[in-house]
Amino acid sequence: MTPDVAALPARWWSRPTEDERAAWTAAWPRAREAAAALGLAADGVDELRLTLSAADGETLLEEYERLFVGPGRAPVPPYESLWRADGPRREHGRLMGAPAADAVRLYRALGLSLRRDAHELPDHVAVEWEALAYALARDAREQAAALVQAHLALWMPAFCAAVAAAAEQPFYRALALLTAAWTEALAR
Amino acid sequence: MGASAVLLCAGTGLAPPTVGGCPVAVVEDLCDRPGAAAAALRTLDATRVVLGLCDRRPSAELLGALRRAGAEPFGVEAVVLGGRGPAEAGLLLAGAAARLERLAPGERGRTALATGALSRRALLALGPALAQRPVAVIDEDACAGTARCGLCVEVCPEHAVAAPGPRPAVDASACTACGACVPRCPHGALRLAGAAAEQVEAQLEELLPGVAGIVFACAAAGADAPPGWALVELPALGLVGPGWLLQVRARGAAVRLAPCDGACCEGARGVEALAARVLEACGTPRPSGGRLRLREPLATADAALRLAPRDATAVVVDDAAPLGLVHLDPDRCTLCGACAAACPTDALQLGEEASATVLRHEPSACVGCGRCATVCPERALSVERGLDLARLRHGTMELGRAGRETCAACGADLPPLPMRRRVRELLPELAGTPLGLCAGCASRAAS
Repeated sequence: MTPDVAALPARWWSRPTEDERAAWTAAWPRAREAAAALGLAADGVDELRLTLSAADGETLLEEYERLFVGPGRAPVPPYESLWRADGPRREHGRLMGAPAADAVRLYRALGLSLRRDAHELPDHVAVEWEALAYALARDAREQAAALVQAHLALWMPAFCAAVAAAAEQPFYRALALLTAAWTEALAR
Repeated sequence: MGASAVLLCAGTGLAPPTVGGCPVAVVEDLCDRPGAAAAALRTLDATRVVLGLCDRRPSAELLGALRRAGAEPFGVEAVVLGGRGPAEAGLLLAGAAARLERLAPGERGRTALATGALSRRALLALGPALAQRPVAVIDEDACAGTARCGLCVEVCPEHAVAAPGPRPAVDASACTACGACVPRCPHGALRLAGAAAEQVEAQLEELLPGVAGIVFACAAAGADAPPGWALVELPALGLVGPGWLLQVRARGAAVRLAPCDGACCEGARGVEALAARVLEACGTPRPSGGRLRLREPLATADAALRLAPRDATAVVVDDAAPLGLVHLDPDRCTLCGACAAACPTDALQLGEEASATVLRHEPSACVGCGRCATVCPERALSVERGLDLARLRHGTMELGRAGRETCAACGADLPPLPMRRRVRELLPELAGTPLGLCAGCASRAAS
């Protein structure tokens, strides 16, 4: 499986700075190939491309801050620990819960650690996708399977549905639908 | 340079007091307790470490812990000892220690990024254990410079070696450590970090007296050596020239390659096939002692000479050969010396002797780059890759010679006779002028 099936979602779920958007724009052919590798049609990618080109950069950044960062309680905080409903009840809705600790363990097994200057938590959506991309690139099947089955597949459906409902920018609605579809294809 | 130490897992059941002069610490359950390994390394105050492990390669955690405890990048050599007797295990450990001892001080690779092309903004970073990837390194003192040589720039499949100035430079972010440039450098100036020729030479010198065979394995292949054989792991088999195989055979041991499926080992089969052809050409190998040399093209030339009987005359033509065969058409050569000027290794030399101008060729220095044939204005040269055992044995040979003459009128030095003939052919207005006069005297004589 090409690492792009995870490397690209990792980028799309990162803060949409100008550099970042330029990188996305250069990668649409790779995105279509990744969709094909997952056995999916390219219309999800095309929708993402069209909604990005129609969006204004500033507005997209504001939407990213509003949806995922705050101020106040963000509508859809992008951390696995907050979305997993399968652990002990007392851990529900708490940041840095058991899923985050397990993610760190997986990263370590891959020889990875979170960059200090990334200022992110280990179970952030973009970090998990990036780790999966690395696992696929290294052909570390055990860790790749664990990242999909024991992490992404357990929270992407609920998280993406919530993003699609909360998003005011078509780009994030398209990204949520695409990510849900790619996760489902990967988990098969 | 840092001190070396040996850490042995208690599970191996071995406890030699020292290995190759290095202190030994036996650690309970070393394979699975990175923290204990790191503590032992700190106690021994070493920066280079040989790991003697039970039955599998070191985990990323173990390597990471050792790096954090002060081990140099490329300063950890792991030996899997499962099922080997004490004598054999001692040999393998001593080999690894010898290899570490020759590690260049301050050897560094490149810092690997986590993912693909978008990774410069990556959120995750590789831990210290894996952060250092091998990369091609140029020894500035040995490098002949791009003006004279620059073969590495032509050879690199990733275009990672460039010549921005008088010296070639490796773009570490583009280098995939395939090793292709290493055997192609005629000056021995290129190495892959952590796998320099002198390191592997030292390792083999330890191993060869005691093993039945050597397996040169790509680290990505995850290969094992059969009982009685030793595994020599390398970042890529691209750096293994045919001379490596022949040198081991010349010392009387068997040898084979364990390539991975990747691009770094693409040439391995060709190299193995060439070594087999050379061995066949040599007839029954005559193992001999002698110092091991792994720098191509000398490695191949030297091994072939040691293996071949004195009267061997076989010629092996093969594109995988690190050596070249130069053929000169004496009727066309004017001894102009353009070929010698273009030769990156001085295999071709134009000598001005007291009584003659001589063009010579040293087959053991020729890498078959073909530049001489490209620049020859008379198309007198052709080059192919391969080796000619009789020519190698003979050594430097004369390709062309012309006596030195002086102008019959003024006594000035004249160009070689074949060149004067050729110039007269090319310039019809010179027809009939005496060949024994210099250009000035000839034109005065004509007017």
